[in-house]
Amino acid sequence: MRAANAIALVAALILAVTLTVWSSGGFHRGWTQTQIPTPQVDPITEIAFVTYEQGFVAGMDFLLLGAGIATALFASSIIVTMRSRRKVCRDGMPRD
Amino acid sequence: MKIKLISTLLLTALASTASAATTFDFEDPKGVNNIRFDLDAPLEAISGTGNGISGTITFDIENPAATTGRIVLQTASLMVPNPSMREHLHGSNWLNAEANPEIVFEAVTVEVKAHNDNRIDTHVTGNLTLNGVSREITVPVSFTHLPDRLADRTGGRMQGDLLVVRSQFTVNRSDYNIRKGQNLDTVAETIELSMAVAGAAPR
Repeated sequence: MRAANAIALVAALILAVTLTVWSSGGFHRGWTQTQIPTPQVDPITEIAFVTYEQGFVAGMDFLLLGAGIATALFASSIIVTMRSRRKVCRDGMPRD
Repeated sequence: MKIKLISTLLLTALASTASAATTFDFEDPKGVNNIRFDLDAPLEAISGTGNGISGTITFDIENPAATTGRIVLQTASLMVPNPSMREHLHGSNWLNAEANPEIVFEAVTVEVKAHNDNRIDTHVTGNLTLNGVSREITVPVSFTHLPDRLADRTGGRMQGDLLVVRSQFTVNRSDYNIRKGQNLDTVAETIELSMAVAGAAPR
């Protein structure tokens, strides 16, 4: 049971970190960006152009990956709990 | 004798006016010149720019139909914000930047559609080479001549003219053998291209 709780805790932490990082990037609903585009206009020619700066904005792919890992870990913790309960029923003694 | 001299001078002046074509260089150290591309995709449109531009255009405001030139874009300069998308874009399955380092448009004929002061709207027919495939296409192109504006752009270091060239058109990626018939559910077949470049002709 202790192992299941630990896995569930890690899953919750991963989900929390994922949501925090995603929200800090302004809930970006596109792809994750590592080069942040900034639109500019040249004053003489009036040409619109884009400059890129190094950065990180988490996108939907990051959110889905984080949520996916967290879900898998939660599922693992449930399986571990069920297995240990089955063992308790069979042996009559709790085991971790 | 005097009449002969005057007529010779007049003819020389006329000839010099008639051949007032100027060559503009589109190498841009400021990185303003760019070509933007957009492809529709399910999550969000794939948008990026390329600013590795060079080339020359010979242009005469009095005779724009005689315009000639070529614009070259370095394939490796194409940029998208997502790192794995960028890797795919430059990779061998998509544009193969290593094997096809340049995207080139070379003008063959220019048909003038409208001429308003310093802006000329045209249809340019030329060869677009993309992903190693050359095809003749006709695209709308506007030329804006900015006489004596080079000094403003260079902080007074150089005198001369500027020529701003803009164009918006679409190409099909299958025409240029870019994942022909593949990934159609994730990346659109049509590529929207938007070019805005300025060339300089120093004096």
